[in-house]
Amino acid sequence: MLATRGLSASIGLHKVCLDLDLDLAPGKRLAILGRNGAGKSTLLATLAGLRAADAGTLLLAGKSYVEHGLRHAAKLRGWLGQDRSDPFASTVLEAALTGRHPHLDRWSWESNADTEIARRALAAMGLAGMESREIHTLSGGERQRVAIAALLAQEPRLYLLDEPLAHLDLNHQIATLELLSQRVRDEGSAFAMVLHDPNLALRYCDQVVLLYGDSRHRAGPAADILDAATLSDLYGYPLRRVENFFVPE
Amino acid sequence: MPTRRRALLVLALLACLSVASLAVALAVGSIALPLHDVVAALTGAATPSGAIVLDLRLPRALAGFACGGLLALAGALMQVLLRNPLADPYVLGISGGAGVGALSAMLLGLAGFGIAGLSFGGALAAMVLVFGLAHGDGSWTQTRLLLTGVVVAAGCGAVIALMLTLAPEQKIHGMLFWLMGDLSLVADPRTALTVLLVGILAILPVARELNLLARGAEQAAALGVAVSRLRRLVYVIASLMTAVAVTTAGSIGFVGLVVPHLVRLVIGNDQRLLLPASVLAGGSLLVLADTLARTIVAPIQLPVGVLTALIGVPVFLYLLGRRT
Repeated sequence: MLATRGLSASIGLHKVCLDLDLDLAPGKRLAILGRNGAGKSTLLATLAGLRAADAGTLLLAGKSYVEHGLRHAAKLRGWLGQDRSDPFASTVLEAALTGRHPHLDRWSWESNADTEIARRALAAMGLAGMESREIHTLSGGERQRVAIAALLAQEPRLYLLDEPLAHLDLNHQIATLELLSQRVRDEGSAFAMVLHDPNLALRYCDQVVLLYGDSRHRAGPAADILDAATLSDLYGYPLRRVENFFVPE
Repeated sequence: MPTRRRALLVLALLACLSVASLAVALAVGSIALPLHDVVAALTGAATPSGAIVLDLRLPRALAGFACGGLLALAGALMQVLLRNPLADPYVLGISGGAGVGALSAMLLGLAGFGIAGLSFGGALAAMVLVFGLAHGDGSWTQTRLLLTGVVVAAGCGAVIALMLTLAPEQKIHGMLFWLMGDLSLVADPRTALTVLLVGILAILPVARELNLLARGAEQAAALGVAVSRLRRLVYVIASLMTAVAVTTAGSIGFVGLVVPHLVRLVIGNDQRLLLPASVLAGGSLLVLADTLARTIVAPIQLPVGVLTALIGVPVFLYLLGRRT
């Protein structure tokens, strides 16, 4: 689904990663872990084709983003950013329908089928019955779920999510990860997400990329890479493994 | 989200309002004409009132409609481009540049065409200056564009104040009228109407992309929108439309800021409907305001910008109150 060879990304003068080789096959789930400012979002945006890489190749379903073109790429990969500022009013349903944009022709309006897809996405995020609510009246967690619903409505093959669990309560954190995992399994799609909880990464992801913030990285299977020593080094804070969980000292 | 049928219905209603406002503008004035005389004049029948309708009132009404439409559309586009509900067509300094040009022409003693030429040149200069400065480091954030525009506008404002201070007394009245907006000098509305038509035709195909741009540039890019190209298109179209409107009738205030919000309060924020609806609503509002401006204390003519605000403010406050 997604493959990189020798990928280097940077933001300003900050090298985020050098020579990253990554293969994300259909049905696989990837977590990007690291400290604040390590460049997780930058890497994710690079993988989404929203930022140019410094070097290396990046293939989405076997082709580069340039070969796909903007519109076709948008049918294949969806990206959830962190920004939730909406200067203008909009209903929840309208916000979810934005995900249908790449599937519509220039002059087409959203059909009943598109509306149905958006409604189902909202229901999947526990927002059924809130379609006509104004997004400015929602809580932070509800707005985050609306944004995820828009991504689900986009029906991409590759889900790229930047801190999808931000503002979500415990119930919705797990529900969201379960939902995405099930989608990936059922559709043969894949996801890559920025996470802050190594336990959730271990439980819900097959692969991890660790970014150390000084252009070093480690990538590989989650079960092999995630151990107490590695994570203590990554976060600069001692962690201990208790049964199957990492807990801070 | 309005359905396409509801959108067409809203636009049809607004089109009726536009026709009605034009009819009022043609019938009302120092010589009131019955409606059938207006129709007769328009259909080419030789009537005594034909000259009043065709030579005096029609060009002025059409110019008012075109300028109102241009300003409302440019305002709606600027609000999306800058992702800022307080943006209006003048926020990026285009009217300031036009004002400097027009007032220079008046100080130099130029008339009609000279004033229009210099004010259009001033508007274009401001547009190129702001675009170049905001683009300086390659990035193009809304904040940088907004700040550059506001500073250029402030600079133009200072130059305008200086020119007003130094101007001979007999020229000041004309200068003030130009600055407040004045449709009485319009000879030919065709340029403004053409630009309005071209502008709306150029922007409607990308209206759904503008919906996404309003929510955030990165998310729009991830959904397949060519963001930089779209922003440049919107900037150029909105700026040119503003320049033409200001060149035609001076810097008429209020229409560009409030008409998009007025329309938004009634029909929501879908640009596919909002943009054409703003054109029709802005055009109608300016035609009605201008009709009032030339009749309310006739034979004295009021600056039309004052009337647009006097009509628009209570309507806007009513809608805002109804909504909350």
